[in-house]
Amino acid sequence: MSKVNSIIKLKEEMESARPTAQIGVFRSFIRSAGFLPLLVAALLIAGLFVNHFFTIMNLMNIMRQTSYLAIITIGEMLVFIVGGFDLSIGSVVALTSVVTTMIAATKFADNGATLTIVGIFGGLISAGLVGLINGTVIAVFRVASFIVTLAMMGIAAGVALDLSGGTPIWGVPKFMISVFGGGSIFGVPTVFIIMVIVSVIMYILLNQTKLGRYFWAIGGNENAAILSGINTKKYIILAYVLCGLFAGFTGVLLTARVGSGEPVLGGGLMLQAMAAAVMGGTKVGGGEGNIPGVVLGAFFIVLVSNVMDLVNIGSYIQMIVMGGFLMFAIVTDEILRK
Amino acid sequence: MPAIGRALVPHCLKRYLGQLSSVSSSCQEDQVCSNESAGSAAVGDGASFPDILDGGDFQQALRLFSIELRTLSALDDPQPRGTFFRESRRLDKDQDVLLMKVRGLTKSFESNIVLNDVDFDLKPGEVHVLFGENGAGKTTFTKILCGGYLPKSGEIAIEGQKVHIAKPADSRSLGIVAVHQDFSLVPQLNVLENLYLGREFKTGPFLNKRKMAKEAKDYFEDLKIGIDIDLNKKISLLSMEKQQVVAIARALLQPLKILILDEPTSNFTDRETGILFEHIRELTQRGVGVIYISHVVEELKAIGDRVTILRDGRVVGHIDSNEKITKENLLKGMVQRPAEKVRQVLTTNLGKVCLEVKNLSTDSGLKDINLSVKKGEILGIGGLPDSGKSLVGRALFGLEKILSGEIQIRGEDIVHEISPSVALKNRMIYFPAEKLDGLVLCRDIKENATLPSLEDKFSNRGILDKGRERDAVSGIVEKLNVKPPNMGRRVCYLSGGNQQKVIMGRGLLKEAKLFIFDEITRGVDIASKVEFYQIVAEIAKDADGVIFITSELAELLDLCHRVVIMYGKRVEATLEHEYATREELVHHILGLEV
Repeated sequence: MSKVNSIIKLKEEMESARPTAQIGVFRSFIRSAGFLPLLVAALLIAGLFVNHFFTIMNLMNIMRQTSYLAIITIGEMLVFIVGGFDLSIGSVVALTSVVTTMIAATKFADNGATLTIVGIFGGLISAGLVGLINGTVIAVFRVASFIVTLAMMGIAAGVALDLSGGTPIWGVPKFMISVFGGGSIFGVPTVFIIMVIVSVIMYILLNQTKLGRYFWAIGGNENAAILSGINTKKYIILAYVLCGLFAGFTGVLLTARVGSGEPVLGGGLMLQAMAAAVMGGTKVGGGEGNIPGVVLGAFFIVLVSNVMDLVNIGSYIQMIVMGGFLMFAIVTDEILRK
Repeated sequence: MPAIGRALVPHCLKRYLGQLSSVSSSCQEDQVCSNESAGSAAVGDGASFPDILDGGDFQQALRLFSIELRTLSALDDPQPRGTFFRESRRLDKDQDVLLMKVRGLTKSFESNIVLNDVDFDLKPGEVHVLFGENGAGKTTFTKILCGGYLPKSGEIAIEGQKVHIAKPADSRSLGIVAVHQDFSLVPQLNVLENLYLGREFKTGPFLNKRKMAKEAKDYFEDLKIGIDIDLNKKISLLSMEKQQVVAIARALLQPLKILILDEPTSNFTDRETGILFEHIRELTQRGVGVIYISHVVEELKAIGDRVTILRDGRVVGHIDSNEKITKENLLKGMVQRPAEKVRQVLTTNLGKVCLEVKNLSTDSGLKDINLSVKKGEILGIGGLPDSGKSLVGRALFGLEKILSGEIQIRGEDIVHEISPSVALKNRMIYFPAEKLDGLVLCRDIKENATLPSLEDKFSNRGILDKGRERDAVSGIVEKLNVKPPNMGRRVCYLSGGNQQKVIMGRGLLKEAKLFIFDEITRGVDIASKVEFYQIVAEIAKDADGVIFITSELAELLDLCHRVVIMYGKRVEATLEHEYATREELVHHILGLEV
């Protein structure tokens, strides 16, 4: 017996002497750092071998693209954290784009500002509604998020196409385009500043609030959360609503950028957002993820697709590459976990 | 239908058709089986769940016995003496005839050592019994032999050849075949598919179902077991007894050198057990070695050649082939655990009733539960695994749907609004039997410990007060002696005992007053068990009441003021600590008249 005890004791001492695995910015950063060498390599290759990469125009473009992708990915990450995933975000972008433009492009007033704001609200409400339906069906009826959001992907895309008649809607107010689309403050694109603000808010929400702590707990072990008296259904629904809202917000920003309501906007975003989330250290299945990692993941995905654009690699091949990255990220994540 | 055509009909389609309409399915199936397994289909169908009750009493007796053993072992003389104990590391002179030789086998999960330096020999043609209470390491031992776990250290030699068993296929190719306690059958597949799973007979690329069915049918006829088993019936539709027959048949249909039987008779009546023993004897005459695990002394006497006794992962005794296997011999091997001291000083100063349950019935089958807990009291709830004792705890915490009755906390009836959050608001906390249910493994100690108290103690308008949280948790970590005392450590890296402490700390941080502990000492190492008893006794002194649900008789007798025994999802008896005896408890646990 004493031998057993002494072995246990020795082992415990060894364990406590081992460097600690703290959950916090540092550790989650280390987790997501797995792909940092890849990011640096991509940057180096781009800088050294690709013409026109280090131009102001291109870098601004990359910043913008990163911002769009980062915002939608943060939403997707929330759903990942509570243990589900959302395939409908791409369609939500299109839906929001159509709804926002249909409201904002009405020809009643010449002041675009009011209509822009009303339009944005309308678009966000439709996006939030999609999230609400997703979350409610998943949380209340205990259906697999994969199937529910797959169905919703079809529904939202169908609604967007039906409302718009399948063609772009013109007449986005100048105000909207100038502020959210091409606008910049001190040379920094407005969308980038918006993205930074969103990231900071979400970082605080996830790490410094009760709400964030509940999200982690639900994704880590829903049973434990229930036993701790947490209304898990409410928070799961909330995560999907937030995810929808982030997708909708991305839709609004993209609409302002392209200057029209597009029923096919955001087609490739779902795949890219998932790849960015997983590369950024978000755990498929719940309980882990971090904002800096996700933003860097988005940056990486945008960088790769930008370089492919610059060297004239077609969009079909780009889709293959993005799918490949997602698969690669999930597999390496699984391997690193063991 | 031509033979190839039949083979092409996918199983799933056939099953689907079977569900679609019983009439058409019986035609379909009859056509298929009329050649392959003539007749057996039709007979088996009529009596689908016939003998499950027959097996029931036997099973209870088995459970009773294992409970008794646990208790006896706890009360026995702590000093092992007498000729019964032998040097375990003695070298056999006739080593070359050993079928299997295991030396120094050790296995641990985290810091919990489940097998410690185990030696074990198996000669050809003998039945070597592994004996020991629950958690002694028997199942882990067999799982290592079957390639389910990798040992930490130790050697295994088969017929003098040192072997490395890394995966189940290795074990099978060495001729080791096992029947596990849980049968390991695929419930969605039918009997025939299960019997030949992983070693199907084939003709070219197609399954040769005719050949498999023929062999299986002959085999079952050979058994003369008197039970008709329909080869085309889904496993999930069979009674436990028939499932056990299938599990054993699957093992015996394979070429084998070493047969491992883990509680093979738990669903059998004496008659079926007798038939199994005949088969075992037949096998041993052919030189097969059998490792036999059972708690039933009568069986061991009948079939065992010698016995190795395990306790807490160590070999603590042998009964050799020249000695008689008797109950006394076996029990002597199960001496008292040296470190386990269940008995705690209980407060005698009980206050008024703080939790009272009246006529509670639930959707999950609880009927008319009445119980009450006084301030400072530890109320034990005991019973068989399916007696509903865990359901009581779950119902009180709002995890079961309640049909009728009252739950009064400090005089106030809260049954209509009961849910985990309401229970927590009334300062009642529940510790689940499956401790992993309660933990968020991928998060750290701190987050796990404060999860239920964030709302009222560690946040202000939704913003966390992390400094306060850290201080509070470090106090708890110190108080409960959590090792390592590092609150940033993820709980998946902690040992079972320390994980349980984190959950306990959760209750303390919540400043709970009513505690429901469900089997908290199951699967915990001995040192931690003793700590838990102390903690529970300590908690009870200040609490409004503690409910301690357990299947260990010693805990009911020595840790609790009063004991409620559940049977058949009802309260069978309520006993005062001073008057309760072991015999009385066991009687009530089995639902017998005293």
